[in-house]
Amino acid sequence: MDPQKLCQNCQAPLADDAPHGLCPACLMKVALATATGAGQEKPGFTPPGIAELARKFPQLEIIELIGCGGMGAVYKARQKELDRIVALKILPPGVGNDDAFAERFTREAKALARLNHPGIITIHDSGQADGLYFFLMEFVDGVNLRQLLATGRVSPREALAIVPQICDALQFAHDQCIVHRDIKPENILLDRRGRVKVADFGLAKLVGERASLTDAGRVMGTPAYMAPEQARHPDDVDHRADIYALGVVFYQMLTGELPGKRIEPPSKKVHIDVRLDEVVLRALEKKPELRYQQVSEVKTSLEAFVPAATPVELKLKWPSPGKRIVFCFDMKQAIEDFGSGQPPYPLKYDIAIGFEYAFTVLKEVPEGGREVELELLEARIGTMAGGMTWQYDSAKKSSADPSSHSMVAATFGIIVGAKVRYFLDASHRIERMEGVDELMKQLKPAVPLAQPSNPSDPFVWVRNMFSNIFTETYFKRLAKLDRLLPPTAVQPGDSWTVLDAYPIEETRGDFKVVFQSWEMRADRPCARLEFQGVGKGTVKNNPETTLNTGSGMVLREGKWVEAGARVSNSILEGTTSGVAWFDPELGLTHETNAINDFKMVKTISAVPTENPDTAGPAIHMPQKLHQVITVKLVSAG
Amino acid sequence: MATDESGGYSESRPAALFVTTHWSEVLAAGRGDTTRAGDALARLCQTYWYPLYAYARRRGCSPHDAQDLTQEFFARLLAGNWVAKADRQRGRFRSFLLSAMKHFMANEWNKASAQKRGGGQPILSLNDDSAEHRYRLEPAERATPESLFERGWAVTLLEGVLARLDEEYRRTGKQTWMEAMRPALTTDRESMDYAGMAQTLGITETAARVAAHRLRQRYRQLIRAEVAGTVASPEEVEAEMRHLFRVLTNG
Repeated sequence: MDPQKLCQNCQAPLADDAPHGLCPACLMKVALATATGAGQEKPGFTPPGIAELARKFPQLEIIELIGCGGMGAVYKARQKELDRIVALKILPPGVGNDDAFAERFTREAKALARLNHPGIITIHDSGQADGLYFFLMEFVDGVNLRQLLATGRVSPREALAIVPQICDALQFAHDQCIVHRDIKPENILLDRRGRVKVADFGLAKLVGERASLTDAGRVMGTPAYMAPEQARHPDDVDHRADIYALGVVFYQMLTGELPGKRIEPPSKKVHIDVRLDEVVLRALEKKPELRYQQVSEVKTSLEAFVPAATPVELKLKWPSPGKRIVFCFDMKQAIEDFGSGQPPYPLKYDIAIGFEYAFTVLKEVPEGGREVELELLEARIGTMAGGMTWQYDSAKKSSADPSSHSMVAATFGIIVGAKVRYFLDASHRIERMEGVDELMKQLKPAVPLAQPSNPSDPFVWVRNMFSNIFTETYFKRLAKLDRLLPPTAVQPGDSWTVLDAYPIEETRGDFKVVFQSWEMRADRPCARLEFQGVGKGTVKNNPETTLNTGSGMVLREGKWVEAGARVSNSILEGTTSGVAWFDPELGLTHETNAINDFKMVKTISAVPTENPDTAGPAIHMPQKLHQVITVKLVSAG
Repeated sequence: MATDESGGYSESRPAALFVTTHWSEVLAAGRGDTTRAGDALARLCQTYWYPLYAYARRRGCSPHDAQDLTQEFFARLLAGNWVAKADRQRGRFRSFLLSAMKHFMANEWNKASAQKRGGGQPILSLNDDSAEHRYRLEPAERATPESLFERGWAVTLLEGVLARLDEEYRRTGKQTWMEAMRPALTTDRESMDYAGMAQTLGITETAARVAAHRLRQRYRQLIRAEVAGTVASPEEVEAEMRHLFRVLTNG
């Protein structure tokens, strides 16, 4: 016995004499398991034996009984003349023994024989043989959907490969005014290539009406898949009943369950794109007029969820020179500042800040570097702090209370429209910037200083915005995001871990990223990447440039005054989680929604300020920070 | 039918390739004197001699003696009318074989071995090396001779079925398929990596499911047919398979 070898399935040690390297116990277990899916339905009659059928169908060699249900029994057979394998379906004996039925059977059979579609089982022949009504049909060498579902949970990707094919087949029949009336997993066959073939069109009507006279409960279709109106008025249904049944099948494929009385959206049960809920639930509307009116609309709705058949590489690409990429960045943050613990602490601030800006690659340097131009298009800010609320929006030129914070409003008013040029090295790092100094020179005389701030450079935060915040959403993040992207080609369901990445600020931690599904963003198929990370690290604040953490301002008796000390080094820890939609073709993220939660767990050092009012040990620092960041690609010229 | 060759075994394959040996046929022949029943018995013996060899070894026979004993046992079994004497019970071949072997070892082996040495044609083509090699792989510690026999029986049966399955796929040029899908024979349905399988075979995930389903289906057919060949009536197949499952899980 080799202790290294374990059965992959039961984890028991694998004996050396394991046949073909397979665990004998598990082999026997699989052999014992009955294939679920077959013979779910109780037939309402005893299917005729092979010998009996052979007498009735001398032109056929009856091979075996392959299925039996309320609508009849199906045999695999060989047409001797053509040496062709066919499926022989016989209707329950006794279903029709009068002229009226015979006439109707002929009429229906004619209509069904016209259904020539690759997704519909072809009817070769039909008729009556020695009292038995029969159809001779195309034989599908595969399984039905019920059996397929029994082989394990079907992935959304697989469901999205199957359902549109059913839509095609149904639409074709509906166009010819043929309603299936009994769509259910047993009637959806899949051949060896995974192609759909819908069986038993119209059979429910043919068999059902007749049988309902004697045996209503048994053959009138399958209740779980039946549209409400079909249950109430079986004679008066249209193609929308098929759409409902398809909805049930779809629901079952996604969740593994039938929809309950109160239908729970599939995404509540399994992890799927929530937008699939809409499609499923609309198909399952109780009132036919609220459903999709054509089954082709179901297919169209699903086309948005383009599943890639093969794994794809998710790699960042720089836009070619001259292309203008416009981003919209919005960040909302809630800060809870515990300060000294004495009133007015704890203080709460809510800050919303947003920008719209365009990047254009001006030049590519042979060594891999680039010259990129940033143009700030719009800026907006709104804060609520200690009972004061104000906002500014460059697009509206609005400022609710310009007197108290005119500095920020005026600053924004000037910097909007500014162009800054970045010189980047091959790793997307900024080597130098051009244009910010000029901007700073403009600001000084133009903006009245409404409050004391860092006397050496009151606009240091502006420089910080250009060097950090804006670039963070694009090329700085490129370096970070690059690390979040998978090293190999991936497909939905794949996940990977990024070690030592940056959830927030200078913290270090591991990210887990999952490629959840393909989703459309701005009409483009994007990989939905869900990420989660935990990080911890020392943050070194430069008291000169720090904007968000340790701004050095304290609210005293309704006025902002400089704090007695600023935190210079602290330990932050926190988590980040979010979703990014990455467009592999564009090589860019269309949208990123991230939530950062972090707190300062320890102050390592603080720098005293010159304000005598607040001198002392009280350290002003955001202690808890909750950020919601959204970055959207507005256009990619 | 479309001539779709993308997976599984082909429908055009001769259906009778699986030559079942029928214990029930042997039993039905009563005295075991018809040629057909004799052939059937010989085939069963050829397949299931190893578990007896292992039994004899565990009972303390040397490799050489165990080989001799097995040979002689089968010679007597095929020549004589033990089957008729086998209480004429509608038992399973497995139980019959073990009780006959026990009886043989207790009552006739010494005499038989004395007569046998130095003459006669071997009934079975026993490859002693491979048998002994296999015996050495048996889980040694706790096994009783009987449990070793039963485990050997079950594994032999599975081997035969898997070899047939392989042969069918090979014949239709689907060996790669078989290799890729073999895990489907032991893996829980929920944990099958259909996506990976699809990628290996360059087919869609659904096609991979269909193929795995068909493989399991065919495997079940084959194993049931094989087990059916060792029991007296079709109704006993299920119980015999459950018994073998217990044997394998307790072993």
